[in-house]
Amino acid sequence: MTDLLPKLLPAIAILGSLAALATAIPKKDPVRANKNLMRAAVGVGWAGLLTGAFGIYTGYLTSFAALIGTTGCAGLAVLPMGSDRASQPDIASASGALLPLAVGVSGFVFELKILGEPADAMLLYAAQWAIFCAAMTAALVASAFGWSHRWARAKDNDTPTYPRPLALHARDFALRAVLLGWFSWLVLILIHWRQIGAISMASPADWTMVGALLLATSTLLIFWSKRSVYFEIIFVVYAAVLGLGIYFGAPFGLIM
Amino acid sequence: MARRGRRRRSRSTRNATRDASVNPQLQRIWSHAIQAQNIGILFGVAGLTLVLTPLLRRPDDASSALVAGSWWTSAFYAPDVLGLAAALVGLALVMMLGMLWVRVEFAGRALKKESDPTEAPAADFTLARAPIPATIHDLVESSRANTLTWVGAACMVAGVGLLAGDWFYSQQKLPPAYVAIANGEVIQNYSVPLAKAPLTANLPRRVRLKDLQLGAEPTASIQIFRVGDAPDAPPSIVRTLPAGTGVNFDGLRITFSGVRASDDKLRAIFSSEAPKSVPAVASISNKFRVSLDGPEYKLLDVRKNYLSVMGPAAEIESSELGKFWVFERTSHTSVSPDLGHPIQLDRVESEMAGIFTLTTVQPFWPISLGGTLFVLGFALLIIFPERIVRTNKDDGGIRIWSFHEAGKLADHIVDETMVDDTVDQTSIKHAIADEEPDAVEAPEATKSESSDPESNGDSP
Repeated sequence: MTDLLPKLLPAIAILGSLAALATAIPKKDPVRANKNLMRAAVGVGWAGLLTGAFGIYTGYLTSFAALIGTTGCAGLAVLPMGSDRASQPDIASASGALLPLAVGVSGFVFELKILGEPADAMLLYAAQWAIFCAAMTAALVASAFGWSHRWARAKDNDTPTYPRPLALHARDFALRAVLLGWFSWLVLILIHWRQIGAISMASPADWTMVGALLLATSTLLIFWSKRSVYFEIIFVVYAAVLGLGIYFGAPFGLIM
Repeated sequence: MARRGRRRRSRSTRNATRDASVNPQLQRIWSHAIQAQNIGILFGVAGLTLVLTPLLRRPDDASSALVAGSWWTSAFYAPDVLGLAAALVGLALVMMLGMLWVRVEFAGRALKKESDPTEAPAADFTLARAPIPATIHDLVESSRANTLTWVGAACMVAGVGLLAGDWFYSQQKLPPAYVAIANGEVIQNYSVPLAKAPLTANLPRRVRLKDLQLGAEPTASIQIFRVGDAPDAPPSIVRTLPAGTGVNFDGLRITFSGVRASDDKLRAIFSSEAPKSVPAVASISNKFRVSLDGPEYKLLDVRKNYLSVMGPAAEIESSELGKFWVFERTSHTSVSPDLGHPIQLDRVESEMAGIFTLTTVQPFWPISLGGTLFVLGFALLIIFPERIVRTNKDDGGIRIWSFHEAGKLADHIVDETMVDDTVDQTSIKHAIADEEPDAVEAPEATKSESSDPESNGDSP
């Protein structure tokens, strides 16, 4: 029984992914059916995410399968949920479930037991990092849908087209994913406090986590409302200057 | 009614006075600065700095000063870079609050159903339709700006800001460090693994691990002595710590983090050639006997490979023989040399040591307050989402703004306008981001194109 429990989370991730994928199947009443399926997938994702997070936090779940299952559920949790106006099978939204599905299946395929004292810290960071990465991946998938929508054109000028504001949905989900990432950082802080009485271990893992969250927030804000290439050029110049500066040892305080 | 009019006039006078008092150039710079993209760039540079610095400053021999864990999970000390990143994040947060304030002011103006679109920031979604259905007017009424929405957004920004501030501040001080303490061992200092060389930090008190219990739920019993106390004086603090708990003393917190076999903490197992003797296990500074009536010995030192060639060895002291070394190799010879003592060294093995984390005591209130603000803001934004809908009679434009429900709201607007719709009278323009005007052609929308704020606006 104890061996089966960690496998439950990948199973939940697979179940939710299949529910989301089922929205692509033609139905008699696609609006209602797809909405309910997508809501079920997202609900299952949140249930698995919270169960996994609680199990990892209490030390009950220590296997790789549980960790990877939690990751898959996190991906489901931020899946597009606002497809209320799906007048046709929502293939784009359903495609976002492929990643959690793959992650859930890998939880059954790969076996890795994490034990020992240093492994506690590794598991802690890995869990937080996995949840964060899942959220960011889902946000990227959602953003890709938005871009694909922008390129769409009306097929027939005589037929009026009502473009679904999928790009706005993508932005909404990207925002939620970034907030989920910051939320997982708050959980990491609380776990650190419980373990060592400090807000952070001040380790490279902590630095990278916060840095990646800042980068994700930055990406979201830069592409929030794109009016011209002006800001993108500035961003590219910033990144190039920073990269060249680091390479040539510029005194950013980065090179000792 | 007259009172409301006076209040409105008073408010507009105040605003006009305030606007006049601000330098127009500064106002222009500020309005350009508080764009989402600029804030994003600041966050991006700070994030790049944090991600790249540990990789660039990775020590050549990271394991030399590590007690437990790995370089990846051990403390990393670089206050100069942290200061730079903290300054960037702080500036970005201030600008983000400014951006929120602009949105609050706009939402206040959005209470009016009809408004001048040129004064509005770029809409997230625009739909040109004439006449505007009555359901949309109802939506405008029902989607009035809710104060709690802005309270939620401000709470989230403030919560993250407080947590990030505490995170940056706490890492400017002495970083946490792992310490391995063997059974019976006393420590007075510990080593902090820094990038160039480990830093030795003195403890304000002596800490002794009195007892270490292994098993499924390990516990460590520690004693903390005052500085200057005699070695046989009673400890000032005695605690038995389950794993994950700690105790504070003199501004430091020591937490029992786990148990592991220590590479540098060794113990020796002795036996004796004398009759009626039993094997004995001893750690450094322990006293032991190998027979009930035999002399007492004290273990002074243990080496895995004495002088790199002699193999395992232990230094022992007794009142009769003084200090002497015992070698495992000699002990295992078939004909033992006459060394003047009966003790044999059976083997040397790694000792189980308690792993403790030493940190400076930090207040909990920033975490508590920051976390509460963040979660409260999150909940408020879920319960009271930002939904601003405005209409314009002249061009039949319906515009929406929302931070996190723009897609859902846009879907709803399109659904509402499709009811009893004669399609040739409608045109839709999807106006997020850099949507080209020709994405969906709009015969009537060309009329409103010139007054469309999104064509030149940059605000989110």
